[in-house]
Amino acid sequence: MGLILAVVAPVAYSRGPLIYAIKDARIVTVTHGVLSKGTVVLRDGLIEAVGRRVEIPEDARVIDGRGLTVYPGLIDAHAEVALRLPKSTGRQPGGASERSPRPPTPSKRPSLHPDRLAAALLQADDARLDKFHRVGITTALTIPRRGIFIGQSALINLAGDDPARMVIRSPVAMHIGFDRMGGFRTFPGSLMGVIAYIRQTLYDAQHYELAWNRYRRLKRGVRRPAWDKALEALQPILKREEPVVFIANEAKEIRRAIALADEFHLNAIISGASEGYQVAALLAEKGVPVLVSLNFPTQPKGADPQADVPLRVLRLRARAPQTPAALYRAGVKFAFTSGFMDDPKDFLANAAKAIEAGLPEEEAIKALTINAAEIFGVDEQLGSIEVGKIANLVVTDGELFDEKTKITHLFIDGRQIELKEAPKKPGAAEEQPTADASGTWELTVESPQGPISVTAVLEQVGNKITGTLTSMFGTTNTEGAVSGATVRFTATVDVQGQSMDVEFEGTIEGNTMKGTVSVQGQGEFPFTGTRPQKGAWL
Amino acid sequence: MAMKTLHRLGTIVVGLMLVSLAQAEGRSSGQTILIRNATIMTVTKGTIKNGSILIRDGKIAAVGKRVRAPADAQVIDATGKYVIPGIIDCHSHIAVDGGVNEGSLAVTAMVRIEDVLDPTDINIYRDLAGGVTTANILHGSANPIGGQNAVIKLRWGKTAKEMLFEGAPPGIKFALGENPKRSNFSPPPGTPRRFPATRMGVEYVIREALTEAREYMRKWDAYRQKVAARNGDRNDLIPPKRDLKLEALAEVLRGERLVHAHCYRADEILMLIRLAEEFGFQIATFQHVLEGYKVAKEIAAHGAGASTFSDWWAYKVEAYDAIPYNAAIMTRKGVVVSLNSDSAELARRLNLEAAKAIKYGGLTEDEALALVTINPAKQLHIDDRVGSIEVGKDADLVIFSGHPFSVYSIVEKVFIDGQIYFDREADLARRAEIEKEKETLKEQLKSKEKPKKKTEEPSEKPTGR
Repeated sequence: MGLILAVVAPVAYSRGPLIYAIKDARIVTVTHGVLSKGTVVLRDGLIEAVGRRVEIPEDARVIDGRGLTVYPGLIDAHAEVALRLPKSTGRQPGGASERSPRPPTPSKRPSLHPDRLAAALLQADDARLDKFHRVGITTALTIPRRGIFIGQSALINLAGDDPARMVIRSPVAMHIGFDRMGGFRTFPGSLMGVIAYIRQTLYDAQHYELAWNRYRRLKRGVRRPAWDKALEALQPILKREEPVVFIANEAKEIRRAIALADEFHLNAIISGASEGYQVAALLAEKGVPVLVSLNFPTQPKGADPQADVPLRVLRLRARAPQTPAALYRAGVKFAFTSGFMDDPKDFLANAAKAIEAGLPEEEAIKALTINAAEIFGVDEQLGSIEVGKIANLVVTDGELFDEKTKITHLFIDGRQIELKEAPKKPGAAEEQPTADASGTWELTVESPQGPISVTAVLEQVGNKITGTLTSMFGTTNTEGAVSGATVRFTATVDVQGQSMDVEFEGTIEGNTMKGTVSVQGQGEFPFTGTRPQKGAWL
Repeated sequence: MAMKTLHRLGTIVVGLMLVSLAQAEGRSSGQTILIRNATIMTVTKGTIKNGSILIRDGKIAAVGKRVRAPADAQVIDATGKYVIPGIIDCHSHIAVDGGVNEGSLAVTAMVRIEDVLDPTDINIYRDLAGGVTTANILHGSANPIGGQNAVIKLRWGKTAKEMLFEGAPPGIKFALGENPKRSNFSPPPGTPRRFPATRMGVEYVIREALTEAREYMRKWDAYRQKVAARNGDRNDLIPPKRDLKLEALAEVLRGERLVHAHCYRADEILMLIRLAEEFGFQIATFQHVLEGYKVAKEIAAHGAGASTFSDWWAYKVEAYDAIPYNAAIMTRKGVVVSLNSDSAELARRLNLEAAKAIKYGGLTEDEALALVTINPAKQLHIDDRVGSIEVGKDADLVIFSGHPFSVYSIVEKVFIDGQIYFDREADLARRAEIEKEKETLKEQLKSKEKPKKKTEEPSEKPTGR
């Protein structure tokens, strides 16, 4: 594998020198201890040499490493990054979506994409890559976040001109989520429906294999089974050739995922695990690796400070950072993820919280490097500073977890990555707002069921919006942002006991607003509205 | 009969498992406890004044006026207090994650409450504090055939799996009338009305599903016969495809899965009785069954139980023709009747619901108490384990401060499998502790947030999907 990469890697990045030597730096190799003063040589995307006494090639661009520390590039073990997400059509197949006199059946299989490869959805020019680079992340396991049979992830380097060159391994794992399709309209609309659907689909996949095996064996006298791309794609997980990543945070969710994995003898990996400290022993007993989210639960922004928060929630907020230490003590293999933070700026700060909660620092470094590489089967290529491995490096001016430390250099595939400063102001990357959304809006959503009235009381500070939405489904809080004259706000609406995410996106012109609202699992509908002027809203 | 025996066997095995589990954990279920000087309402064997109950290994070891206890037994003096069997709620929707209805389809027999039990739902503890020890957690009534229910013991603090009532026969929810035809619900935006929309349609959906299940059963029977005929040589044989929906309905047809049918009107009750008899199975319980008094004889003749409310009605058209005498009349006509909560709140005072059947209809004290203890146990086919205070049964017991039918009485202690799961004194004592922990955690979380504040960049909330 290393050899193959050596041959193909240089082609991708032709700009700038491809030979670097970082000399006289402190080197944290992860697998072979720490060199207090040594040199690393990178050539053509690979680590060519590392050690105390290393000859610096004549053609190398030399970086004076005095006062600097070199770490392997950090791995985000589960993210939704550098992906061109398939556009949701809104209208989901299956369920009651078709007008039919017969009761609908679940045979239409919504959210069944086990054959979808993240590697085929890559886009190299994701603007969010800068945010990952800023905290030293060079590599990520990427996959769309939502769905049920979501697809198969790819481990990618977070830089390159050509998406195809970013892939380190694909597929890495099957990803199964527990996202409901949307209320009473589309099966499965409940969590128990999701689980039943996963179970039925896996039974279908088992039967599919039986039927094809018989056909292959007998050849004559048997009708050939229908080929099915989804059931075909599920075979590797049933044969334990490919692991399955389940997103599960609370202890009960982790238990559910493990029970499901046990039922079908799947090789499970748990992602999230904020309550992992409660089930460390179970995870150890089952030998289940964990991708621990560093997006620790905190008090939501704008939450009522006087609200009586249940003890269970407070405990979770206080103890989630203890999960890594608990897993370490129980002997569970784990790696860190950014937990779908839009901007993983707290990635290292939160890893430091895990250290504060009892995780040895070197274990935290492993969780950011070699552990992920081992879990994903690429520890020969990645995760430590060793000769022949992929030249992903983070160079810092101090200890990785010290909040004063700055990342000075970042290398991905042996190429130096420019570190762009974070924008100073919120949403500076976005357009400055040219409209003020503050006020009481009377909106009308054109649903196929007829118009639905929504009263939106919004308050805009800077480019941020907060407020409430009131409709036949009750009143909920909303938040969003304004960019130019475009306003976006989201809310979670309770429709007959099922919560649905709704997102309004519209443009403001004077006292009118016009746009579309997308309702989770339902589709997109146009809306219009006005802001009746009764007195000033100031 | 065979099922009963199997049951017993299951009970013994599970009992043994529990004991060993408790010993392994060093817990108190292996402990011997004597409750003495209590008024014991056994439900099935009358009321014993100044009586004692001996609990050993999670079971009731002895009951009576004079009970010999080993010297090391923990003694609970219950002078002036009442002991009743743990209350059984035959219709509950607590402790369910992610929706109690899979309402997208008309038939969802494949979904299982067991998969989504939430052992951390505070309502478990609140119901426990009202003396409930066992609950039948049902799927909702949005579709003619809903999902599979789970009978649980309210073992607060245990995992979802550990809460399951070991050996309780499986069940399923059916629903008739306004809810499955969605008369009182406006569909969410963009949603067409789901079939069925009439009572005729509801009947059709159930009949069609059962017919399909019968076909499915035949397919499997034929396969098994073929396998047997070939002496296990199944070279070119593969089993039919498993269908979890039809599998559950086939169990209904074979009498292995209890049907709990949500209903209101007399006509729809008769409809389902006819339909069940046509397919050769029995309805286990009619739920709500507010017009049950009109067709009590027919319900009794079919052999179904009725699980109703004392005086909760008129919340929709089909719930108007209700009377508070419903439970008593059905009881007198020979129906096994229970009173349920269908509500996390009402579940905390089912004892008072039972009391109302004395005022309305003149049931005896035992008959009234049976409505929330032995009768629901019979309806759920777990009466060999729970529902009355008898030697050999699970030590699921409630100590009330006074007569359980008095509004002034409160629950003091609740035992499940001989372990205390609710203790009012301990609860009161713990409250200050909990407040203190909350304050400490709040402070701790605040101080952790602070240093971050200095370097905090303005956050960007994703407004995306």
